[in-house]
Amino acid sequence: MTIKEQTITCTVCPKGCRVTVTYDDNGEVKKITGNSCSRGEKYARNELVDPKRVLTSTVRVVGGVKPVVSVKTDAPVSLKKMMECMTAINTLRPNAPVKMGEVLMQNIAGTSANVVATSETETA
Amino acid sequence: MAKEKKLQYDVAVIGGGPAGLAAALAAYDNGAKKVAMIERAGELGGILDQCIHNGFGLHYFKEELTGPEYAYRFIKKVEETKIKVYLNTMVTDITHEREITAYSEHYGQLKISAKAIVLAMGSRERTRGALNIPGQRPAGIFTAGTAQRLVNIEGYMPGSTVVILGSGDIGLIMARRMTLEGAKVEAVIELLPYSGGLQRNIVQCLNDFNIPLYLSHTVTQIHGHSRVTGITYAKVDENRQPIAGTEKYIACDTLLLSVGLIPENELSKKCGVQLDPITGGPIVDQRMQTHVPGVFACGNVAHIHDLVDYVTEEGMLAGKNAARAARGKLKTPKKLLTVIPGDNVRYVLPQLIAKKKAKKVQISFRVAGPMERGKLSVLYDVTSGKSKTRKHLAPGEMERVGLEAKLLKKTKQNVTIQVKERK
Repeated sequence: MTIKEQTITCTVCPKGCRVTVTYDDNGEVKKITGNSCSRGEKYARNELVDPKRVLTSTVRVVGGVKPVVSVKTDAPVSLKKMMECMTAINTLRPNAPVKMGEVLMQNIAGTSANVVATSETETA
Repeated sequence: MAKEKKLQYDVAVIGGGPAGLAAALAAYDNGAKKVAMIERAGELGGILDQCIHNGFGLHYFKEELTGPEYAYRFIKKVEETKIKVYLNTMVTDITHEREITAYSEHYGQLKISAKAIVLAMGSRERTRGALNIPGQRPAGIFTAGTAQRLVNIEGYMPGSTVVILGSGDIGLIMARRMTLEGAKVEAVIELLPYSGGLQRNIVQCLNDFNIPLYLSHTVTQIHGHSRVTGITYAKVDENRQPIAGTEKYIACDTLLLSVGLIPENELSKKCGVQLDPITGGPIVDQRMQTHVPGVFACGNVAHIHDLVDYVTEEGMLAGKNAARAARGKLKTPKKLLTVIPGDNVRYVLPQLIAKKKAKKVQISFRVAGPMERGKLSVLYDVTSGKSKTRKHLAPGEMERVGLEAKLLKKTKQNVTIQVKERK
């Protein structure tokens, strides 16, 4: 059995700790070093298996003062599903007004994350 | 004809971005009764409105917010106060005696007299004109921030095949944003041997999407007549000069520039504030007061920040002290210590310390070059304070150090911040 090592830059906070994960052939984590908090450990474990990110984008609003509002997923989604999520987000055409925090789409691309508005616009 | 109005305020804040919002709120919360905030744009929030990505507020709110969400929290707070907000209003002059001249379609000419002023005008982007890249003047060359505004606020895509020159944070963020919106980002090209952006942005914006970063390279030619058709880039030597024979061509229709921000200090100069040639912003003491009594500065107008959380902190410090100055409680100090950027430190802020009652003084600084491990130490005149080891130091990431009150008290002349490389 061989032991492998991978260094990951933690992006949970702006500190950017370099976390080193040691794991075996079965992907079993043997050691995690370099993190300064428990979130870093969790992040590094996830990075090995299935990296996830909060996706942010914009959607076009019908009849709003502003042409677009910004949106985010309310939970991190798998990097592998990013483009699929973007395709889904780009089909959205909410009517104005759109409120901050309004859920514009549920369970995007089967990820169980929702798309919520992070800015707002009045009706033109 | 617009009528001229004469107004009196305790504290007037110039700019309604994150620094201005924090300053106005802190001034109000610290007893300034009449507070005005003057903003050039049609809404508050400044650059945060177009920064739709997340990662804001990790220090300040202990949660991850997007730019508009971060701004919204402060805007809502301002709306709950009696702070007077002037939107679509452009300040054209500030005198040494704190007389402000501003114009707006709605108010006409405004003359505002303030007991204290907080400068919070932010910064602007360095443009192609500052770089001297040969080529014609085709369409398709944007600063990264302009492209960000087009995509995130106006809803337009500025191009489909993109090269980004400069690896500042906005450039990195736009590499990901353009990719998500279906553009092909061919490369990010950086003149220096290291990136000027945050490490987390390199990971999340470039590595996640397999976008190559060419360090120690630059764009040597922009091709195209009416629209960009491509660029030539080349490796540079240690003097940042292109090396002949290393040129390569990339076909693209868009070139984004992320080559630095410049604090916007035209107004500061008008009222006689002294600027630091390195930061490009006003020289301030630990209370964020400039050389002009009653005039304070905070945020990107003072020095370029990479995290908005620290802009908020600085804004609050400036606002709180502006409120004190307005009440006549902030004495102009007789004795000022100088803070000096020592070995491997490019700049420090504040540059001055008003010694009397100086307790919790925090110095922000940037290192001159990247360093895996550095020993950070502070010299109080010639006495060395406690030293600390810091890891992964980079010019793109602002560092902060708290001064030791006991040693500061005994200091006569200056405080030096220095970093020595540790192998």
